[in-house]
Amino acid sequence: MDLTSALDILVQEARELLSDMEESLMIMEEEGHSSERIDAVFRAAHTIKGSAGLFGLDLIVGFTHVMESVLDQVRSKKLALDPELSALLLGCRDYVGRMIDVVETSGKESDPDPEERKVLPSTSGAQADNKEASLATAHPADGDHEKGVDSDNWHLSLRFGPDVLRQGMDPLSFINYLSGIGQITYLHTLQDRIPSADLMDPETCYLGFEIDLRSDCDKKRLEDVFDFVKDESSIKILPPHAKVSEYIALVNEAPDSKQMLGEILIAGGALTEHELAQVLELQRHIDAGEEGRRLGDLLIHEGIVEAPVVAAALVKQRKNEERKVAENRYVKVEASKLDQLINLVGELVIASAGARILADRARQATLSESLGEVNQLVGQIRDRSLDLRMIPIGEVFQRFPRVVRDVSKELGKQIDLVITGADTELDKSMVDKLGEPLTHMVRNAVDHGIESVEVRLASGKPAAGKLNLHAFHDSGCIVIEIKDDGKGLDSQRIRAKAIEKGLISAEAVLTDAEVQKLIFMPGFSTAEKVTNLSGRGVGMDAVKSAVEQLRGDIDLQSTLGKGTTLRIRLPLTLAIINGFQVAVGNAVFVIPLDMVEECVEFSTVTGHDYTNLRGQVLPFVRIKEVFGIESKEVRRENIVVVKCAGTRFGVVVDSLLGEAQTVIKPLSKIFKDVRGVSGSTILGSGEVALIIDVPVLMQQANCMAETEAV
Amino acid sequence: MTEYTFSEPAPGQLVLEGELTIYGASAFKDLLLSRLHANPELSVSLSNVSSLDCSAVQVMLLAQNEAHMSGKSIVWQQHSEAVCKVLNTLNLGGIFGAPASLVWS
Repeated sequence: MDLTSALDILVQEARELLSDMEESLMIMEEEGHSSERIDAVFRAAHTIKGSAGLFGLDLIVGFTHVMESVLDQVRSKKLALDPELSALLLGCRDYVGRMIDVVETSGKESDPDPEERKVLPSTSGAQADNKEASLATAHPADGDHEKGVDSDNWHLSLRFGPDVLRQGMDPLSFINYLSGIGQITYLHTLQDRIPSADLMDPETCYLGFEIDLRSDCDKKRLEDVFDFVKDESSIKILPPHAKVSEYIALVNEAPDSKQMLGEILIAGGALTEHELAQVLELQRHIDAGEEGRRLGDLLIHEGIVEAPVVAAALVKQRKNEERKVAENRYVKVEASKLDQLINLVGELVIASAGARILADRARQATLSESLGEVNQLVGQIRDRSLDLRMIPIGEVFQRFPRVVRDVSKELGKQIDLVITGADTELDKSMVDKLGEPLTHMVRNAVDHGIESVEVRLASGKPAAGKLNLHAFHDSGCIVIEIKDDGKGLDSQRIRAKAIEKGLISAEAVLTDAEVQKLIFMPGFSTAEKVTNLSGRGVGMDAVKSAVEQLRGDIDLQSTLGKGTTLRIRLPLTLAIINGFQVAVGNAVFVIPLDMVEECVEFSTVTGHDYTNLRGQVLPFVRIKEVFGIESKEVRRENIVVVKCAGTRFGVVVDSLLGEAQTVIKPLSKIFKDVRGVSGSTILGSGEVALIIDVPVLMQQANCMAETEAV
Repeated sequence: MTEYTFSEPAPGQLVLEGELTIYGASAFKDLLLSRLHANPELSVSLSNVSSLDCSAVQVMLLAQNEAHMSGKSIVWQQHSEAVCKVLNTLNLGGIFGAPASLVWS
């Protein structure tokens, strides 16, 4: 692995840890001190320090070290986690984030803001200073003791008692059992206890084993394996990433030659060369100091040291288990590899559709049949591979508690943020692009929407404003709602502003809803004072165009004095959809299948653009007219009933061709002003078909009835 | 108790058969050492050994060491599948010339 890609991993890992840290800190601000959360924060800081250390990023190491010592004091209850400290820790977290950013962009580290850095650790350090300084100088070796070894295998050191064979127990069966509950990655049989021929009793067991085992078992389970022999045998079990000090004890207590044991440990990968050197060095240290009364000392030493070491080992072990579980559940894959896969799947879908058309034309039943099966499989592959890219929208949402907290602090507002539907999934590429517009909208809501405490109380609302983030799936789309109970949009003011800016003429007759939509016009901002947060001209038009780039649309409902709801509707993925093909004249169009409700035969009240669908009025548009297609009169037209944003309407077409998987090819820029078409696709026959943009068509059909509340 | 049997097609050649376990360990030790002392070179065929336990492994290790110390040689041959499995499990395949298997990698 070259260094840059390793650094990328460091950056990515650090980001994840920082976001965990943030989450835990925020929760503790809400719910008060929790030792589990503090541990999580501590672990995050510790891990970042550790990996930064590997790359020699000393600034980060130094910074996180101070954080870590403060956290440690909180952990041991010497420091209370008051709001002040919590804010400070959040600040520190952000600062580490900035240092990580620098590492990412430049590959090196430098201090992004030495001034701020001076403020942060010195404040936090002030409370912990002295203790920490003395710790750092007094026990330079402490760090080595603390650090676990690299190996993630269990290490078992077995010296069977002399009588086990006579008792009918064969060490071999223990080893076979071990390989049943895990994978033995290394085993060394120790034969140096076998005496010379005349002294050797073939019924006495002389063998010992050093085993490295990869297993998800817990320590108890492994210990239980040796239950029957534990009294007379020496069974030592070191968990994965055991401390160097535990290996020292192992080497120390083993009756065998220390150097040899060390070599076995290296051969099995339990210790690296470097770690062994540390062990032997420290162990020599102990030897030198305690010569003469070593045995007794060792025993005492053992007696004292045992408890904390065991406790620490247990913690470590549990941590490893947690991590193991996580590791087993996820495989990290580069996003670009997934993209390649999905591109290929797209081509596969087109190719198999082509093959099917040919088979149908050839009228070979068996061929059609087997191709039908292939198509089904291709469909499944498509779904699965698209699923791979699906991630919960919570990844975007998780940053908002912090945004809202910071913004509301700055503005002196009280805001309750409620997030629902965070596990609603959508395509990763969309999640990435949604972050910015959503942040903007949330800030807008906090800044402009929700009033200050006094204003709220004066108008009879609860002091704390409510901000609701909600996501859900709706007919092949994901809908994200940002709802506040703030002051709402003032149509009068918006209108005045729009006239002032020349966006509309003073005489224009607009409904309230139309007026409100003016805020999406470029260059529109009603904020009377420009605050730190929003109202700098990058207004809602930026949000709107970002959403439109994702083939989505944005909608707004606002009642003056009651609040505002912004609703974003996005397709789930940008790549492949299930399409419903229809023909008009010689042209083929694709309607996203998720939006199709049903198909009915065309019938109309003559001269009107609506029909009677089971007693209800159904407005419709004629594709022929919308796109100006000339075609002969067809004997029997059809209506495809589509549903979008809670509204039903009909699309009149010449004939129905049926379902087909559709790989969306974006339209080139020349066509960006073409309305009603969201993309194109290549049919199996090689023809091009246009994908109908249903929401736009609906607007054109002028049937934008008030959307049903969802 | 089941034990092993052996035959000697020629001086310095041992053919073992059956189960090499603790029940025959004493006799096995005596057999190996006596034949080793009597011959400058001993070859032991393991083709018909159906099982092997740690006591037998110990005896084999002992014989191997004895041979080494007295400058003689002992050659283990035609390891049966059961023998291979045990020796490789204990990572002793190399010492006894057992063909490597993929017990662990």
